[in-house]
Amino acid sequence: MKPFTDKKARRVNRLQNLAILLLTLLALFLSANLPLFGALSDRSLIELAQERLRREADAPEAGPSGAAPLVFPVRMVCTSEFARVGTDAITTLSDEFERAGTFLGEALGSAYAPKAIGEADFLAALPDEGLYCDFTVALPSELLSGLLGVSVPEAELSSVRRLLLSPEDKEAAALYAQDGAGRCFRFSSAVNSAALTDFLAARSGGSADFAFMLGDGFSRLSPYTLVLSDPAPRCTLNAVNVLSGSEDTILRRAEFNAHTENRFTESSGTVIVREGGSALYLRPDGTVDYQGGAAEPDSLYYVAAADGGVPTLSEAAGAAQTLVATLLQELTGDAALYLSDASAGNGRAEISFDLMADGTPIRFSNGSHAATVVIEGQSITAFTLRVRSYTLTESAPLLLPFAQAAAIAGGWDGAELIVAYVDAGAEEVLPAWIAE
Amino acid sequence: MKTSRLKSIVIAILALVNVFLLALLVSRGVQDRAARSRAEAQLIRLYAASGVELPAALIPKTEAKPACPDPVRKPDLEAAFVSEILGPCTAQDIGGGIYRHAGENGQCLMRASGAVEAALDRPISDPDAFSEALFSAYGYAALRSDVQSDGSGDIVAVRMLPSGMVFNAELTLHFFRSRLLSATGFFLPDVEPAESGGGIDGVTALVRFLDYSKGSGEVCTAVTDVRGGYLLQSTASAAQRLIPAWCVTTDVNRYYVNALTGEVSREA
Repeated sequence: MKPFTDKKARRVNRLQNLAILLLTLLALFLSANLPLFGALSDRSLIELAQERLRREADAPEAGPSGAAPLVFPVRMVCTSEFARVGTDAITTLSDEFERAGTFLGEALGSAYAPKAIGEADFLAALPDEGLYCDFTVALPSELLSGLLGVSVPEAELSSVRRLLLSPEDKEAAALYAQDGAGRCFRFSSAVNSAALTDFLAARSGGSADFAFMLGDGFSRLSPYTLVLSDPAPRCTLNAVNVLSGSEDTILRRAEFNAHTENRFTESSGTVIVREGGSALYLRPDGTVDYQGGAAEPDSLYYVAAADGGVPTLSEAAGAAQTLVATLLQELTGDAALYLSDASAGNGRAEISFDLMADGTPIRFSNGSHAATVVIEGQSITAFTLRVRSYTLTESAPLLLPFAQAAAIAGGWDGAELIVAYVDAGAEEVLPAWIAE
Repeated sequence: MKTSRLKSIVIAILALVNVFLLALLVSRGVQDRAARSRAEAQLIRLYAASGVELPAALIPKTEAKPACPDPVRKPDLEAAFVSEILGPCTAQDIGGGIYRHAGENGQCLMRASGAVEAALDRPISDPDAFSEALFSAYGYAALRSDVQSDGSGDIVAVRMLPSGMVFNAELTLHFFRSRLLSATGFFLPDVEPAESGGGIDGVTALVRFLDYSKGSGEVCTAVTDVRGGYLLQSTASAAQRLIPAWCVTTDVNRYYVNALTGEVSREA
């Protein structure tokens, strides 16, 4: 009888092991499906894991250089058969521009039959039905191509400051473009006029006018000055120089050794750090200057070039943005960087950035940029930037009425009136009309 | 104590733990269902108070459709689709993401947004059979047809993805006396949805719609259909984007509730 008992015992043992395994797995499965308590918001482990996976999948994509996509402030006016609406505190990342950008991309990419026209022709087309975009700076065509994912006709347009897309006949819409030098062109495009008309008719918002439409009282202003019935509210900014508390952070991010012996302070208060052939100057007014030489390929100062070792303007701008964004990461508060100028020639490129808060540019009273980067060959050889942090407050100061501002600005013939924050170095930064 | 007895005790404890966990899970399910029933009853009362009839059967029991990755254009697939409409044709990239297909029957523009604009003159002996073959080959579901016996009229279909309907991606074929004269609407390739949802549910979507109709002054007296699906959007950074959405059909108009943001828009 013993062999039979052993055999039965082995079978019972195996069944018990199996039961323990199955019951353990079932308990784990049930536990994972049960809601958790407290700070975990009453969700189960499985739901939390799914949410985490989704969040990772939805993480925003970085640009080719690893930095966020380039962003620019935009002023936009949509004129339909019934109304003209406009907005001036948006960026190229705003929903309003994103939707309009589809038409602008199609128009620029399919533009044909270019014809040089006078500014008067451009202005004459403005009151008619159309989509008007002012990039506020002369945007190099190469960067605009990257922004809209199309090829801008660079033979005519080396840069683009303003665009106007007007429905023409059923088949095509006319594209008017003005470059940074004020030269105007008219193109035909393959944009569907009916779709553009529907898009324009669906826009809503405060009404807008161009200064030249308002009669002789505003004739001394730039004709492109935008007069909005319902300007976006702008709150006061609090500005603080945060360089003194962030010196080591800046040094580390700028690939300098914060504990080097080659660090000394001048009588003016400027901290100078030298490393190899490079020098960093941290000035008491919050300005950081850099002078350096050729950069190694794994350095932040190296500019990758896909073709022939000469970076394109787009590659130079991408590298400059990566550098400035890395240095100023989390130091600008509520302000965001935007590319305000880019030029290249003879193997040298100069890229400038400014700051904006809620789509409104921040200008320094001395006319300087928030950051300027110089690129020679494939190396960033110099930069200057301001380390100031801005915080939006609750208070929204009243702006001078447009008519009064226009009367004052009339002293500068042809000046364009825009609203910007003016940073004179004080703690409080207010929005103001500026004529430029 | 013998090992087998110890194991029996462990099995008994595990069984009790499982019963306890199962009871918790079931009670959670019961509570969820009860909460959902209460929410539905309150929603119907809310609509009734606003003078809008909302049949209980229309309140969706499912989650919003899962998010989809942005569709990627497939020029070969587009060319095959266009050649079904135009007949033999050649494609030309005219910039701005626009392809112009031209053949002896006419031409068709395919835009980056997925828009199709074909103008042609092609004899089609049986418009219904032609449309059915085209729609089944390219994932459209026929919506309506008013083609008369003389072969004149429109046939409208909507793009159906494996995971749901794309509400605003309709395709209209216009026939006149058994000749196909135009095809307008949208074409987009198949897209596999992500595994999980995460958007607002149908009850929340209906609350958002009610808020919208009160705030905007839109007038209706009854909701006639509510369904989950997608909206096709075109932007500067993504020419084609599929947004999970709820479509609320009333006796007056159709409205879309963005399942990610809750934003309500009226059908154009």
